[in-house]
Amino acid sequence: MTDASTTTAFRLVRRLAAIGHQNPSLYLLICDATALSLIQADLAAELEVQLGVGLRALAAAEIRPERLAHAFTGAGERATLVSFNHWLPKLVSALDRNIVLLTTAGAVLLLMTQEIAERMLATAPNLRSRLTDVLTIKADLAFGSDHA
Amino acid sequence: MSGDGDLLRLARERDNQMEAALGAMYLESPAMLGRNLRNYLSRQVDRGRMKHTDEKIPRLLAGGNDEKGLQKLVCNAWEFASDAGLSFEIVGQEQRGWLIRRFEFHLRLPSSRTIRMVRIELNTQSSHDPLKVPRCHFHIGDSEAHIPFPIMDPRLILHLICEHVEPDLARKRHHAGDRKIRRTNSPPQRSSTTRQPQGHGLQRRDGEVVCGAAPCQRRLTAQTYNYIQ
Repeated sequence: MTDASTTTAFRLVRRLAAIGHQNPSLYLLICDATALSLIQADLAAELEVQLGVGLRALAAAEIRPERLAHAFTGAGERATLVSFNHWLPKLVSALDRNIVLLTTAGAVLLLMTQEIAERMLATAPNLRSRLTDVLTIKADLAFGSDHA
Repeated sequence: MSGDGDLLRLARERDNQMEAALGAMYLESPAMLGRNLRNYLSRQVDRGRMKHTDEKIPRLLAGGNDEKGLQKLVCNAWEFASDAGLSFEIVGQEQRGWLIRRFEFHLRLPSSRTIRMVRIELNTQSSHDPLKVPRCHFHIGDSEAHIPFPIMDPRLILHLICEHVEPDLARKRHHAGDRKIRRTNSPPQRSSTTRQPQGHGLQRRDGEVVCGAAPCQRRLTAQTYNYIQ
């Protein structure tokens, strides 16, 4: 896979602010497995500070493939984050078949490890072609001690 | 005029009011305050008021050996487009919520300016002589005076510095007319208010004389206008 450029929650949310967080955008975010919760906390904080909106955080393992529409509708003002802790082929296949649900839900962020990202990009061509960007995301160093 | 004892009592009462205001000013957390300040400074960069965005500023650090249990937000240097520099340090302490313990905002102005520095400080404790050193005060230029300053949220202080203090003190180069006026003791020359202003980029708009040199558009009084003419 091509090396993804590196970002932080601060920079990513500034980007969302520039394009408008309610405009459709779909980001695949890669991070270390140990940093998933830190990144989620950073994103929630930056969305609140920079845009004054909440983060709708979904665990991929809890999304039922047959009820995707339920998961992605009604995001409203909030940005949506889907965190993948492990590879879920049925869910990824369903996302690929129903990609329009993700591209009409405002800002959607898919957060996962490098390994899951590579498998997703290889097996979900519709999703791959709709991605706004693929980025490696790091925890915010300036406020690192706040995560404790 | 009251005696020294009365003045000291009044100064202590003023510091007690500062203490009470500080005790009522809770922060969500130092990290959230840091994110808010960083976002504010980045917006100043977007507006061309400051030079660069640095996402590692301010930085959240644990207090040193003498400040255990405290957290501090540190900004070593943030540069304005005018070449003025801003640094600050805010120290918070958790006591059933986060409270500000002390802070210092230091605005360093360009060397071409008459006033070289403005510093707003909240000391950790009240001074033994609050008449001379109020707990929250500011310094301006080379003055040794500690001028009382109201307790307010650090976000408001940053806003005050960025939107009012720095623009007023660091960017006045095109107001040569103002400086010229201060040096002369001659009385104002009354002239017709319908005459169009000459020089200094002055323009008449809606009955007021304004400086046309962007970005200031500073309004001048009719008396100042007459002096310049």
